Amino acid sequence: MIELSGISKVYGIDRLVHALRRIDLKVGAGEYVALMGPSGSGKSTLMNIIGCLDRPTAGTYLLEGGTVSTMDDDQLAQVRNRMAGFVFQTFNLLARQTAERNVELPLIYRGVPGPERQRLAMEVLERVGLTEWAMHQPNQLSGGQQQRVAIARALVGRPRFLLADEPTGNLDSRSGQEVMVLFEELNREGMAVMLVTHDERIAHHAGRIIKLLDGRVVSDELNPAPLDATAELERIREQAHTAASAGAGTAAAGMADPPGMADTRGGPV
Amino acid sequence: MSLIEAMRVAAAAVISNKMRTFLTTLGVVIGVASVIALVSVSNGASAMITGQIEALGTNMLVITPVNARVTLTLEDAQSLDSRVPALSAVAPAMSFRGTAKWGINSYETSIEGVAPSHVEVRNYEVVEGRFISAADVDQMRRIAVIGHTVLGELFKGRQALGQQLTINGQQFTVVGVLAEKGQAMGTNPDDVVFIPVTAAQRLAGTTRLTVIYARLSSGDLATETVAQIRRIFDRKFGRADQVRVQSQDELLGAVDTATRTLSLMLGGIAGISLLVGGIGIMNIMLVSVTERTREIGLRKAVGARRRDILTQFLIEALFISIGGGIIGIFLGSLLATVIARFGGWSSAVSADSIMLSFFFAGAVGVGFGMYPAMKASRLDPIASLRYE
Repeated sequence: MIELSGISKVYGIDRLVHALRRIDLKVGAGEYVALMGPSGSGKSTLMNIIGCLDRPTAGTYLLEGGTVSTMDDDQLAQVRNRMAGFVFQTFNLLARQTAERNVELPLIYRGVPGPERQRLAMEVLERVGLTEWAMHQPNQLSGGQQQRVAIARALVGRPRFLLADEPTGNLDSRSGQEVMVLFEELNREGMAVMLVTHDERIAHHAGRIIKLLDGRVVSDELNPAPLDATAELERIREQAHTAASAGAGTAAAGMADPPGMADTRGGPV
Repeated sequence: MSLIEAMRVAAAAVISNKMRTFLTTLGVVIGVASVIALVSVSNGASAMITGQIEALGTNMLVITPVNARVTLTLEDAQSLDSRVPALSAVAPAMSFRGTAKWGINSYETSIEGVAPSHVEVRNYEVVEGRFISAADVDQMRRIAVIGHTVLGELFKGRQALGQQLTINGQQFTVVGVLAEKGQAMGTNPDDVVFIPVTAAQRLAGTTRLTVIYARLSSGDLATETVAQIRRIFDRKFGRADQVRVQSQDELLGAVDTATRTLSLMLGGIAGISLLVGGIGIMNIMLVSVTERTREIGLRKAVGARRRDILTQFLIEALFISIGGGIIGIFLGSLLATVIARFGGWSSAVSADSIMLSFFFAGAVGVGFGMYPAMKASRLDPIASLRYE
């Protein structure tokens, strides 16, 4: 599905920064891949190129047999619209628009008529378990709920793959784990998922872990025993439960943040 | 993205910042309102002046001295009458501002000393009594014929015929009342007291005339007749160009030139204020683009093309400018009506000026919205998504 060969990305004019150096990478349909590496390793750049947000300086990128690396901005926009679903660390939902309107967004740019858009949006909102929150605006939703709206938005256009950049970075551990359960389920249904993270434990949910350093792939290994996201969530819930029943005053730490108390680092655009 | 969708998004953006939108719109509102009001004022005023000139009567010549050292006399009027066959009537006049009193009522008006021909030359109509006769002029009789406004102001609608009124201390008997000629602008033709020209000269202690009106028997003869009149006065004064001989066409032409200049000037001022409104739109659109950088980045990430973003912001600018334009048209029309009432002319908000300012407002929206919209459409999605 995704086929990168000799991909390089160089930034800057006077002082050149080599973000990516001759990357070769293939990702098949239905794979669950984690991209790891310290900051500056080039993982975000690679992700942007795979997601067609950016063009490589050199090399060829074949997506479903089409050469993406030579497309112009508008062609890239259309490829993004049809092929990729993005999930961001900061959710990037539109404020003053309902969850349902936010989810519709990719379909608007595809020219899908209104009633059909609403039907599809409600369908994916149901899939992420937010049917009754559809008419709420982002500031009325918890961080975990906002991220699930964002996932619904990524899914609504039936893309070929999901790209998630630190999707749990702004969430508490339980909401984060709920998101991981969702990814796992979607992957089981056949959706290719690519995660960018620096969190080892999050990365270990994936079936394949790719590590980058200084713009090069330093390891690309299959994960023989991926973490079971559902079991992990169960474990976190239990921990919270015991902490709460032990009467510790900090019980809230492990619980999903309630609506209206969204994390200030993320939030509506 | 469909146009309807783009309009929906733009409408949401415009509504979400009500105060800011209102203030930005105000620039266009004021610009358009001033275009409408000022153009209407200049049109109305020029229509009124034109109407007054036309009310002088057709084929009219107006002969006035070029400066105070030049004296026109009754003899000049008589010699024109006898020597220029193309003139069907000659009406000498001597006018000044004076106070007319009746009993305890007093009213300042235009006192015009005229000859019998005046009623015909100036298209007046006598409704009661009679106009000034040749005998009145010859014998310097102290009689007066009053205009409609004077009748109302001085006699408050009571019987005026036969009453004595005092003009600058001299008693005059009212022998006639004129029909209402209708409000023309600036000078009201009904706000006048006519007395025999000789009586007026005596009252003012002079033998001068302020103006000689003459009527041509046919408009075709205008050019030759004007030349002939000029020759007569050139010979009399021994030098050229001591009197101004103006035909109605010339007066209309002069007024036309003056009002066109006025229109251009007022239109220019209004245009500048519209321009300032446009700059306001551009300013606020730039702010809007910066504020919504992340939104733009996200829209691009999910598949918005450049022209989708361009359309969205252009429509937003158009909403502000056309919205302002519509409010401005209403406000301007209202203003024009109010001013027209004070100015005494009929308010003439032309469809032309409405269309013009509407399209001008739209053009301002597109013109000043284009740069911010282009800027938005060219934003790099990655950098925009990271924008704090």
